[in-house]
Amino acid sequence: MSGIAAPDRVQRILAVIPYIIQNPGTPLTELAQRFSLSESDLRNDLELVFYGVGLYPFTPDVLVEVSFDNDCVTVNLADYFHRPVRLTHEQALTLLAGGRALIGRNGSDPDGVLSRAVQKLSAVLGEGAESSVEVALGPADTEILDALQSAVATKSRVTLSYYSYGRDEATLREVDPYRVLSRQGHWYLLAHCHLADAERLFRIDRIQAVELTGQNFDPPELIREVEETLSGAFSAVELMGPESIAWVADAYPYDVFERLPDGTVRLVIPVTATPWLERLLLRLDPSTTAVEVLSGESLLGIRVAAASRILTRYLQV
Amino acid sequence: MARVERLLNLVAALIDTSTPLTAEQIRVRVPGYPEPDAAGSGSGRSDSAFHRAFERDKESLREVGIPIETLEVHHLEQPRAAYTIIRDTYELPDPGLNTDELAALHLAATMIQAEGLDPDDLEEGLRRLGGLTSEVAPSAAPVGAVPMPPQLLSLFACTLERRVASFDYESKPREVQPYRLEYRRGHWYMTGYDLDREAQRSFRLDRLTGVVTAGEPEGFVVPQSVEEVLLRPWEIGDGPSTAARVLIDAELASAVMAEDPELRVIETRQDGSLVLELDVRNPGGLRSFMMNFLDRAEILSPEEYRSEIVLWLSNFVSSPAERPA
Repeated sequence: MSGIAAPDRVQRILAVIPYIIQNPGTPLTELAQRFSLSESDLRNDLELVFYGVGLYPFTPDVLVEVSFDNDCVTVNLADYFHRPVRLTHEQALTLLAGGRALIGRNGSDPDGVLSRAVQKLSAVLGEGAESSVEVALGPADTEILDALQSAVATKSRVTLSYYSYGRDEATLREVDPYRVLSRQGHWYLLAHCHLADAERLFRIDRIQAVELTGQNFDPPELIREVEETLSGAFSAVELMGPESIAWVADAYPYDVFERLPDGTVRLVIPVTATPWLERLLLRLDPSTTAVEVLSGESLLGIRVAAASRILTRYLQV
Repeated sequence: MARVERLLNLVAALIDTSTPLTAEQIRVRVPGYPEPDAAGSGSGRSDSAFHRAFERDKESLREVGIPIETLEVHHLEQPRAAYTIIRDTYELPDPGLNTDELAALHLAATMIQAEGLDPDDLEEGLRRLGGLTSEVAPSAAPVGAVPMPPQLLSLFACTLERRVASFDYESKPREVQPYRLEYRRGHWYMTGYDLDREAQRSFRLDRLTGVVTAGEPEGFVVPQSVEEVLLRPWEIGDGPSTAARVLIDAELASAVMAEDPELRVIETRQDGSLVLELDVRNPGGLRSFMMNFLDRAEILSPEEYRSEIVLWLSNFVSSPAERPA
């Protein structure tokens, strides 16, 4: 028998028995498949119930009766196990969140099967369960998302027209799309970018158009872990400012966050591109300072330049 | 006798009994516990071994969701704890899921990874609902990951059972009737009725500190419609709103609309740029929003907001801060 903990085996048995009671004569092989168990584990479970489970005083009339007829299983006299146990909160949340996430994504549930399933599941979880959880994986144009997913599936090279937020520029680039995925509230495309000749992660909501190039590509054996691609900051920046800048620690990853004795907030954050830093600095109190950690150079010139550019737009006649 | 049998027999005994059973009665009815000491030995060693085993069994069963109730009974004039399982709370009503529906649930929950929950919860949950039906195709690699922090689970339980939740939020104690949990833009939010502020509020879960304490079940009624979490920074506030017009350059137009498709577009210009109308209650929030676009967007009206932006930007140009010594 596999080294499964007793409570886990108990909950497994308590899920299988009710099914057999309601579907008497189901072949053992079918049961094993349905419950994702090996046939020998399942047979052991059933024998354990047959030989060991019943009610005081354990006379034959109160023992559970399990019979194998040509490997078709029937269970009698286990009225107390005729329904499965209610779902734990963990189980309910996993299933509900998964279902709601995909329903929320347009086009993933064309026949409404998933919606019906989530509705039925919610009905047994309790009143109000249906509206209790909403999961939005991230904003994205459905057509673009679908086009990318099909390009991944067919290994088709595509041309993206992409706006890079970090660099504040729009480009056309040919890419080999490897995977579509959602992380931290956004959809991303992991692809080999021919412009950069490297793997890149593209925010799907910043892709304005996708066009097939008519070429195909061979994906590499090993696609790098996404988290690895997500990082890659080029420098660390130290910010010092009043309490009002503390929200930065909530909104972005940081390496250091502390309050100095005089009340100054000190943050060290990884920065990947200048426009990103410009946007951040322009939102923080003007007394905030910014220094590149490695070089010790002040970065406030970046802020002056950005503010001047915007001012030009507002002040032109 | 193995522990698995003992646990199963304990569940059967507690479901079957019409009156709650005391620990002593359970010791007699459920085989596998340490036998009582010989009469008169007085050591009590086996009694304490029994109680330890029984406590552990109850805990293990409750962990897998088996609702063992503890009640007080009087036995020979002495109050005692007694245990039972109430069928209605134990038994999962038949959801009536057909094979396709089970498969769809399986697929969805496989594609969306619940970070922080045990993957076995998915498998075990599906078994209770009627099985795992079929193997999920390999193409169904996870596409998304949703974090499941511990507070989420406690609040989810409160939401399902309509229990008032108490917790610390930004270091202040709150008491809230939780209506709904929403995952948006990478964060979990809880929307509910704040009992102290007597108004509906939304809370970001990562700003909750400490544990969530749950009140009694059925402690409130969820209203018919619950408004969605408000996330637009310029809309957060209690005062009257002012309509502001904002021009977004063509390069950013589709990204802005993908992020928030509900934004009111009142004009699409020939070059592809958009004019949006925003209801502003919080001009500071509008300023932050505009800074995201650097010089690729502009407030058109009212004049007051334009001059505020100009004033704000002038701060940076005329008096660059000195680094404190």
